[in-house]
Amino acid sequence: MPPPTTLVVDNGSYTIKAGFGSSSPSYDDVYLIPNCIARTRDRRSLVGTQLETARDFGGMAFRRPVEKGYLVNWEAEKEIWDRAFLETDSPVHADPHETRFVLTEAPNAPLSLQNNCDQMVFEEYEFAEYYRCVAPSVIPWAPTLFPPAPHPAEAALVVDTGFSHTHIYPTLFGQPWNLGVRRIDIGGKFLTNYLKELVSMRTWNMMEEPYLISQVKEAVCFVSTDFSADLEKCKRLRTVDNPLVRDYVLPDYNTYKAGFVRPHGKRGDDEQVMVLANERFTVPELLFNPADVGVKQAGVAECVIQSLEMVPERYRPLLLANIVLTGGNAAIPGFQERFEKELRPMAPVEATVRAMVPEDPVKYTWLGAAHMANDESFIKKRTVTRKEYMEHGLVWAQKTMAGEDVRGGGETIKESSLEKERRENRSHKKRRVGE
Amino acid sequence: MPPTVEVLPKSTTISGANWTYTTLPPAHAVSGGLPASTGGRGARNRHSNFENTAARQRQINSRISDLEKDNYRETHIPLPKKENNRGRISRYEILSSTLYRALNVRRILLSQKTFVNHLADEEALHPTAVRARRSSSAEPGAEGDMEFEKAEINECAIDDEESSGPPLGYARAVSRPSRRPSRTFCEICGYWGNYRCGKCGARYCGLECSGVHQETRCQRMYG
Ligand SMILES: [Zn+2]
Ligand SMILES: [Zn+2]
Repeated sequence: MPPPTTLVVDNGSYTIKAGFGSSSPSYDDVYLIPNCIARTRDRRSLVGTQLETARDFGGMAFRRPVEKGYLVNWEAEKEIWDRAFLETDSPVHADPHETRFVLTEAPNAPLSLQNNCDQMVFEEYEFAEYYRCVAPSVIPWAPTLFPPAPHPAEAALVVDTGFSHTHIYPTLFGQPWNLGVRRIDIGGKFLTNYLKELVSMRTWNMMEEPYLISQVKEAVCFVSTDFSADLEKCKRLRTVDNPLVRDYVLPDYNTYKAGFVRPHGKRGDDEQVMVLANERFTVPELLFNPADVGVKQAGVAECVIQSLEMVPERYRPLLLANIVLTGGNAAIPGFQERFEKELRPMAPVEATVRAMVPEDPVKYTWLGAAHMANDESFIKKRTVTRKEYMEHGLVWAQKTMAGEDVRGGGETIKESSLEKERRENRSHKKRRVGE
Repeated sequence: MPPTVEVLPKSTTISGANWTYTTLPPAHAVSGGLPASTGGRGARNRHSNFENTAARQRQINSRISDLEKDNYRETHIPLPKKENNRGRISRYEILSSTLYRALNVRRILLSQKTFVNHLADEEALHPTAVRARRSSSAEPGAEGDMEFEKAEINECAIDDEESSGPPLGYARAVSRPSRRPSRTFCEICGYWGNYRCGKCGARYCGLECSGVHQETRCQRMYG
């Protein structure tokens, strides 16, 4: 008997996406919890959702348990998790003894961090059942962006671009193609810091205002579909007739008025205005050209090609036609258009290049994980009960979660729907994307 | 605004935006100027002297690590103090009690290791995998392990009923450098940076920005 509740947690470095599983999971089931401890300038510490109670974000500093995309600092994470999952006034609190816990992590986590995580889940929180999975690996189960594709999807090339980094993650028949997994060390934090640096150099000193700059970034930034042309338009600094220029009216933390964006123009007497021109698109440009700041890595479209070079040729067209752009940066206006525009000429001429951004790219991985949790035959094989963990130990538990059949013939487990699909597909391998 | 009830000596710094207009931003003071070029493969051949110096690479690396920071200054943010005025013992408090913690859990909670420390542990455990990728990222021209991986993939292609093996690990999964020529930008206004300051190597777009640079920014590193 599986436990009565399933708690699905996509543990991002910027926000935790948490919610309970159900027979028909939806975006409305997800709660966003800032994955940080923030310190205000009057030296109060705010944990997780307490950040929402702050009215003065000026000079705020952040402590994030997830470093470079990986859960490193458990002292801080426990503080955040305790309040989110154990306090009765939290909308996602649960009794761990009665709960199956599905948790995501970034690809290629160091083993020592995987160990820490599993030990905390079983020995500190004592969840009844647990499955730790790689975040983009659940995307094949998410509601398809390419109807009428089968569910779970037979091929999905996931581009997951989050706060800490960006991953290219090919999946075939629900399985990751590990040789093709690639990481680019550019994420939302890097973009925010770059914008912070640029405006601090050109207009306002914002070095101590990461929160505000992140708001500015979300309000004004876009991915240019014609970078050279847009840069040319902005050559003459901040002229009124340049349609690309925006004014960001800075918040006034005395009256707690929020900041906002408007077209460039006259400013009011009591307003402090940040004028933004080419910063609007040279910042997200780093996702496509990390070398612009000296990072010796390929941009997101070019890196897809690097990834596909590691995938058998016959699967490449299938992946190129089923690209899922997910994570917070996928929501930046223009991202999808630019991505397709750059990828098209690098792909084989006869291949269809098709990339989609889900309705909510921040919550989409959660949604995939919640749907995966409903794939009983799959999840039964992968989850580990606390009893099994106590009995067989950490290595056994990790092998099980990785899909190795360490339970042996002891249990008869039905073939999962994906495995069935793989088997059936063997006879017509060359099949391409569903017409 | 009505007067506040209690005027604290430091109230002016606590409330209100304290942004200042900047001519020399702290970013410069810390990271020692913006990189003028990426130092990628394309640039390497064109500018043989300055772009390839170790000092230049240090400049770039220091800036990249600035851009990866959570906070501008190193700060330790302590956990909030536990409130004891709830009048009831919640499950949360029971679980928080150190008495109930297993040895593993205590070790994990007390660990101050950073991600870099954990990576180093991984490297010690699986040195070959890490070194293979390292050599290529340190030297963008080297494609040695590329070939190695291509051989690997052909093997997989023969038997595609299997998956492509275990995860590559952090070090080997990193993207290779871009094949595109590198671009340079004006440090002052963000337009193309076609000119370079002879004294410090900073990039600028033309006469006007050059003037601003000379007056306010020039680091004169190599002057
Ligand atoms: Zn300029
Ligand atoms: Zn100079």
